Amino acid sequence: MKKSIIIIVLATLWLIPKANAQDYHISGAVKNLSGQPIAGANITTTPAPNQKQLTTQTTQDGSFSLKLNQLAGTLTITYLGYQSQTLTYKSGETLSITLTEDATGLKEVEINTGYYSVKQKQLTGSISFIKAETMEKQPVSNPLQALQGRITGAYVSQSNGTPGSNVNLIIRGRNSIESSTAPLYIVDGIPFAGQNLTSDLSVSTRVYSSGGGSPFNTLSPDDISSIEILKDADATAIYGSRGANGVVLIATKRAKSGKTKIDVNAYSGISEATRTLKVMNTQQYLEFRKQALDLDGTPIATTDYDLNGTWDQTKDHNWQNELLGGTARFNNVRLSITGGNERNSFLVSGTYNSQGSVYQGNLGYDRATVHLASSHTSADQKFSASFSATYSADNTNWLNNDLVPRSLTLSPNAPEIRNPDGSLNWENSTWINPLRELESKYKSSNNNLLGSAMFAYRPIKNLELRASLGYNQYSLTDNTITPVSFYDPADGRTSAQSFSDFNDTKTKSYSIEPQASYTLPTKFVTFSFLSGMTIQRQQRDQLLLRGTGFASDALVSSLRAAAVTTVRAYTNSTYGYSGVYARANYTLNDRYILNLTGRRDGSSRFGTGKQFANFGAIGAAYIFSEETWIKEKLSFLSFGKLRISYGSSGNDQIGDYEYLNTYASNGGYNGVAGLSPVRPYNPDFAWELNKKLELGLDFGLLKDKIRGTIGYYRNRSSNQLINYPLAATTGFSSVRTNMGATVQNTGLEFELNAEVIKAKKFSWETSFNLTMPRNKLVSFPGLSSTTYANSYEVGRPLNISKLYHLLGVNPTTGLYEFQDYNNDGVISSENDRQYVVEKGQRYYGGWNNSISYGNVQLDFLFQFVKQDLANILTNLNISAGQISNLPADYVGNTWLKPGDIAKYQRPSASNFDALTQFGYFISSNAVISDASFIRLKNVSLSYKNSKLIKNTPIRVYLQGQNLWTITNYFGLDPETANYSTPPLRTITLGLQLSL
Amino acid sequence: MKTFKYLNKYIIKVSLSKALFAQLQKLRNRSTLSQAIANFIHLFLLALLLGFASCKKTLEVGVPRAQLIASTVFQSEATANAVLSAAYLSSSGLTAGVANSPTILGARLADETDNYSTNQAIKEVANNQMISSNTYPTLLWQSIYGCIYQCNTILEGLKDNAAISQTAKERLNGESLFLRALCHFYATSLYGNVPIVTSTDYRINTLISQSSVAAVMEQVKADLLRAKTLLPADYSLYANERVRANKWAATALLARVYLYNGENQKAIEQSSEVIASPLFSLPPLASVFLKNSAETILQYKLTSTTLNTNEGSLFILTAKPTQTALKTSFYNGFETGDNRKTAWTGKVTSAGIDYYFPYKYKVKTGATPTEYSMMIRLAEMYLIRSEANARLNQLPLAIADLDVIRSRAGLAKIATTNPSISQSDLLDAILNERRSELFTEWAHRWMDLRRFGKLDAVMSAIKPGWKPAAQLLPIPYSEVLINQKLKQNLGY
Repeated sequence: MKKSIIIIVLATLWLIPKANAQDYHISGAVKNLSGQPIAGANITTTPAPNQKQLTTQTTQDGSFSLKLNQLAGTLTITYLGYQSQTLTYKSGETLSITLTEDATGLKEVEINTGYYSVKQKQLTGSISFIKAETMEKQPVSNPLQALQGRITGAYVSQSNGTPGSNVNLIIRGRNSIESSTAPLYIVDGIPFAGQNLTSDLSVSTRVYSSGGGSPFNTLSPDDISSIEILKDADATAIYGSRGANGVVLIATKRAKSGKTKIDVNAYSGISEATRTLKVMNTQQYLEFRKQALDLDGTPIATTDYDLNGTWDQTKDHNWQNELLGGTARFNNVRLSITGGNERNSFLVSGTYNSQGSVYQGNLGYDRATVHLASSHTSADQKFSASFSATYSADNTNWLNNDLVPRSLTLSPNAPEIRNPDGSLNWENSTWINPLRELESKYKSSNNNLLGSAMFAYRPIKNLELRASLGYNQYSLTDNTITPVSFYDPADGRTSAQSFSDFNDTKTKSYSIEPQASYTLPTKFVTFSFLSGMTIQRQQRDQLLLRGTGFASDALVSSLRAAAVTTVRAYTNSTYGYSGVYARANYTLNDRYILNLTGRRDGSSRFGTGKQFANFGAIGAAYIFSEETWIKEKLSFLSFGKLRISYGSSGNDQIGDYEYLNTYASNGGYNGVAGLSPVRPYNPDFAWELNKKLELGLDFGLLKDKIRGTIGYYRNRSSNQLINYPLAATTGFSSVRTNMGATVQNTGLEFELNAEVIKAKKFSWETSFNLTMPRNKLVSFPGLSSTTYANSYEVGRPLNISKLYHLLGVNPTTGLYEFQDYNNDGVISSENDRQYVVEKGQRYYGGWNNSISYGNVQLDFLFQFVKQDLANILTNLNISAGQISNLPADYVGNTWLKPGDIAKYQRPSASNFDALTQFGYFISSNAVISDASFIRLKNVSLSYKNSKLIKNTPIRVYLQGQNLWTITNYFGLDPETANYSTPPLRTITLGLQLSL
Repeated sequence: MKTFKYLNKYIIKVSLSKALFAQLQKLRNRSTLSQAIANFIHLFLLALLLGFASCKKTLEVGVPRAQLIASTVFQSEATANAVLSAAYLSSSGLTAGVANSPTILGARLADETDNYSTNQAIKEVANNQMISSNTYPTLLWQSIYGCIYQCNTILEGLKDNAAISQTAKERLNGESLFLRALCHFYATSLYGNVPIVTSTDYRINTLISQSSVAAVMEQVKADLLRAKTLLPADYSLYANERVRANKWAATALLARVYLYNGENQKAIEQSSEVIASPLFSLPPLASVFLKNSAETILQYKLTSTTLNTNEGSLFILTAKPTQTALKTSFYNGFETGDNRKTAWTGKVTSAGIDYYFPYKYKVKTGATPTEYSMMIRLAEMYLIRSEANARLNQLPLAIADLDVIRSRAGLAKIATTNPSISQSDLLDAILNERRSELFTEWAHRWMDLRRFGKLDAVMSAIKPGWKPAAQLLPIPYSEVLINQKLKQNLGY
């Protein structure tokens, strides 16, 4: 670690600008028509012969200054979306420049596709992106959250509201039956281990419930300049084997030349749980319990503490309020310094983020990030280098278990949590105190170092040689403790029974990517060619230890103090990957574009002879609006482009070494260590293959006041890599192999942007996006003779559940009734779980609005999702009628006497038939229901003033996330649709100033 | 040689680089568009060749640190021993008294215990109304065939193996054969017709057919007879810990197999060999289940920091039962004066109700082991010889052995109380003696009731809805689904 810091520091020092002695100077400011400063506009000189071109950018307040190499000349000012301006200058002048917005200018946006950049207008592939301006409006700590509701073809959802927990991003549906659906994440050119490090045998599985922790939490959204989502074959084939699930390119902020600027941005606010579920109050609950016992015909037992008077029956706790009703703080501060001249520039920033919890207790999450970037260009402009490094460290201090399950099921008349003296109340051992979780802590720290360097050299005109080097080191250290104080003192446990788990996971990876590109522009034809190669290695190590038996609870975080230490996991793996790629692009008359990409890839995850495979794609676009007959006849059509792409990419996201025939040690017997075969030996499996087809139409109407995209895609994934189930008579449960099953994802994507009003002081821009995905298992030979038959059906999406079919409650017996599919008179999981329910998104999208009036700007985003998911009933695994609270929906909807037509069966605490039917009920179609929602995802209101303090533009803003939700979902939150803390509603107030 | 290879590679790289440079020069002097493109493509191809040499090397990732390549495992005795050690570990689902072990399943299936668990799968077991996807028969099946697989890797690894000494090979083969036989024996005893697996090829074994009970028994006998000749005749190899199979374990199991198979004379021969060995004797009731007790022929040593045995952990009650307890009827079934009733059962009283539990193992939790799980013990040998003699109508011999067991339990000898007992009454007495001696051990009671043809009569009286088909466990649902050659047992 120390070493890396030294390297970063040295590298930065090396790039610190050297003073240039020059005499000529010019300064000025760039504004738009409404007088707003334009930051980031490019100022370039037109060089005289034998002089070099000089360039700078405007700063936050629109000002610029430039040292010149001649007394007078011409300057060109360009900025995205504005018409460029050329004017003459004389040294010493202070220029005031006003740029006019260019309706068609947006087509000139350069899109970074990873290995090359292309003008959006000439793009043949399908790429969505968001920029720093959008990220800045959202008070989120994980950059992936900023994508929610804003892009087509990628569904982003939080797995729960715990800080640091996983954010799922699935691009164009699930392509694989078993391999990971995670896209390839590239941060500044380095493949980033986007899969969470906590998924396998780790101590944190309970903390984040299903999803594990997200490594993206170590990237501060403030440091990101853009996120690009590469979706179709044309865009992803150059990533070959790793592109099957799409590619996410994350670029951090780069150095900016110009006067040294200090930018301070701080915001602070509060978070709270978005939704709660209505559960029974004490009166309803006690009545329900009594009805259960009456129907069972059993007396109130000594253990029915809620009914027999042991617990105060006048108490009425709102447990969700008591356990999850807190208000968490949310703070974020960023300080950045940029500056430099036209040849050397730098950026240094530091960000600190901290979040509290909605639980009781001193819990929280905090993160510190340092980001450095610098760039250098040689005097002859032939050589350039850029360097960036990000280091971040976070700390989580959390509970070992989510409190949501207890908050929903605790009896409303359960005892008080604390005794008057503040200690945990165990109420004479009649309950398990929910806040004992505060004793069993989870502590983790993530450290992430990302360093990248890029060198470019232009030996001759139009030829560029480049080399990118990247290094990433990611480590997770976490610890859970289970001290004696976690248990009821009456259990008589001693500290010898306390235990503690220690996990240490490290991932290191480097990549080297040399590349050559050549462009040959002629009058009608532009030919460009690019080729390069990738070498990548990743090493991962995990050590998981358990210490048992500590002399005192105070020592339980120290492994040294454990009486017995056991190694629960020790794994090391290396992943090697290499490939060569090429791209040829041919553009004729700025109208016809052909783009060919190809890649040959090798992955260490496959055995000899299966390591290499070829992938490729062809993309074509036709900009028909360039045709004169369209320009004449359909003048309202300002831009029109048809594009098509087809190609292949692959997926190697399986474990390492699976082709090897190896033995691994296990526990052993009688003091002799054991060795047993790791897996059945099959060296013959190979890449999963994904073929993608895309058709798209991009258009602009009325001078591009309305712009839109309509896209259709069809991805077919075959040669599925699965663990084929084996009979146990083989000694194994499965073997890694390719299966001839085909999974298809099709979908329609719409995007529409419109400038509704554009006046001098007032403007309103609106944009809408909609994705309609459809997933289907097209074929699966031999499905019925595998255990997959319990989970999948040909012709249906992968995301289905096979459930019992609830017919209703029998009015006579008061019991649930289910369809007996094979008419054998018995309901059994083998034969009668035949009711198929499709889960997941039918369509989703967002509607965003930006309204500005003078210095005030208002942005708001609605996210909408139409979907069916599991509701709360699937989690209530204690039969209705036992000592456990229930949703208030049970009141009045429960069978109580013969003849009742009811939704829920008779309450029962002990009746065998009722409990049995209840067991089927929680696996029936009743537990999947509508989880659609419309959510006011983000609101940002800001006010800018650059006159209040001279030369110091100020921005004050109020932002909110997850503000308001409309849904019929039966459960806590429709986005997470699980039994954990819902996503939080966050409101923050911030201030930004540039010095 | 290696240097030469390197040099060669280097020369290729240099010449490639030179060619690359030449192409670059050409490109610089380009004249026409097509020529430039052609030159560039040349350049690209050369660069590719250069790059590819280094590509392959990136993919060499070796073997993970915690693993060994299969071909090296049977090249040393130490690693071969480790594979056998893993075979014992993998047998733990069968041998270590866990919830799916014959001991616990048998206790739940037969007339010995009452169930207090609310777990659906356990309730199904205890009610003898399992569905074929019930987790317990599935787990037991997986454990049995997992262990058989592990044994077969050893047997195959040692075949034509010159790296390991003959003595070591004999012992490794012998123990593997013993474990394989034990697994097949319990498979066929509990599931009926089951596959015999003697190879490690998953392509064959995933589609293997069942064999008849008789055929499986033949395989078991053959394995045990071979094991008996290969294994050492004492425990000295393992510091006198009786936790690894030796000749006596093979002989004892063979005696049981012959008895079950009706080969009474052979059962007498095998059990006599064990009884005659000076290694074994019958200690007082309180010491039988201690580790390495004189009665022990084979025990399973649990690797645990908190438990001595899983049986002790599950059975011993300190409060109202939540899992299992002895049936009061079973408790009351001991003969008057039977010391096993007091020495081997315990009682806990909760809310005025008495609950009884098997108390053969005395340690519920404890880090230092004083008890191991009993697998095979001497008392069974006397009972086997007694029964085999009774079946051959050699009643005095049968009575003599039965009285050895009765005497230890403090009961009067049949030789004195009823010397002229009839053959069928004696067999009933033997069954009853086995009940009192071997209860909640290794599904003895369950298998005995079936052997004696009394299962239906006993079970229908105490288990509502008893069906004769429930005498066998279901072939696991997932197995029948994957291997369509398997035939499900009747009634499932």
